[in-house]
Amino acid sequence: VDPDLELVRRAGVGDAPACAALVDRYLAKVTAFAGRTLANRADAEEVAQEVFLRVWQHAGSWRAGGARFSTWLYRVTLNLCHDRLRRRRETTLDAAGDPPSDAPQPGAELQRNAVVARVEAALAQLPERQREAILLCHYQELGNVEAAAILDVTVEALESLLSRGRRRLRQLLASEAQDLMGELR
Amino acid sequence: MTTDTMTVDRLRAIVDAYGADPTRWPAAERAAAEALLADSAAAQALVAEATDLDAALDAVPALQPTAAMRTAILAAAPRPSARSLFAQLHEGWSDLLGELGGWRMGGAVLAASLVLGIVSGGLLSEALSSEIAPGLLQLAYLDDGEMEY
Repeated sequence: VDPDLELVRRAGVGDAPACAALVDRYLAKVTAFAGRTLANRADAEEVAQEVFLRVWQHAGSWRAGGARFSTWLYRVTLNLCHDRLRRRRETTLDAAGDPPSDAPQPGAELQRNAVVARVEAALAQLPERQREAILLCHYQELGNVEAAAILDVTVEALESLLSRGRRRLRQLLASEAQDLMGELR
Repeated sequence: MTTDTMTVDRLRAIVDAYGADPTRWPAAERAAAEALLADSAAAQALVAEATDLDAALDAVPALQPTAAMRTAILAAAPRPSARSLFAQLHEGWSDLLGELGGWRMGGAVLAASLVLGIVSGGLLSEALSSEIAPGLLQLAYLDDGEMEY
């Protein structure tokens, strides 16, 4: 049974508390996922808002029996992110990635940000499907069945994407693994 | 070493894919994998190896939505349509009738209420005109600014 079904049905008929509950349940997750997929705050915020516009458009006609609401929600988010990434590639002025801040930072914070930047750079080097599999399973903490459904692959294929992605990450971070772990601890 | 259907090889494949945290492991295999982990030094070594990459991934913070985003999204949320409001009214009306014993009993109760309202309204207006009216007149005088007391 889809745990969101009743909430979506009520949101579809304009029940304000249900709409708020749906936003509170998913806005942070959608924003985080879009943020990691796009590596750009403004784009991610626009995608998150667009996702919820789609939710409002479809909630009134949502029917049980198809995909779970959360699966549909992540698919919509991923498709909107893909559209943005495609447009980005097509433009000469690439807006990928937020520019680094020039503001002075304390030493520990600076060091931690360096770690984050290196891990983000390693993630960015992964093939798209491997990165998305890791984002869904590690960061969004989705089960393998749902993550496979979002990516439209079998569970075995998902597991292969995850294994190859994590192996590649270990290779990319291996040369600095000791430094990384030292800075994180 | 195996525990039920879990082997060290299968646990290695799970950890390679999903990392060191059992909450991310496939739900169907988690219990068997955790049982193996509790008993096997080889399994524990596998998991220990994977924790560093998990920690590195966890260092990357999530983008948080702003309050303005939430407000904008909720401002665009669906509003109850006239049809759904009518449906709610109809539902409430049906509930009331149900409590009154259905359409027939409900109709009789409403008719009796109507008659009672008319009769009591007539009696009350007569009483007001004969008894309370002088009092009202006094109040009207009190509101007259030119009168001296």
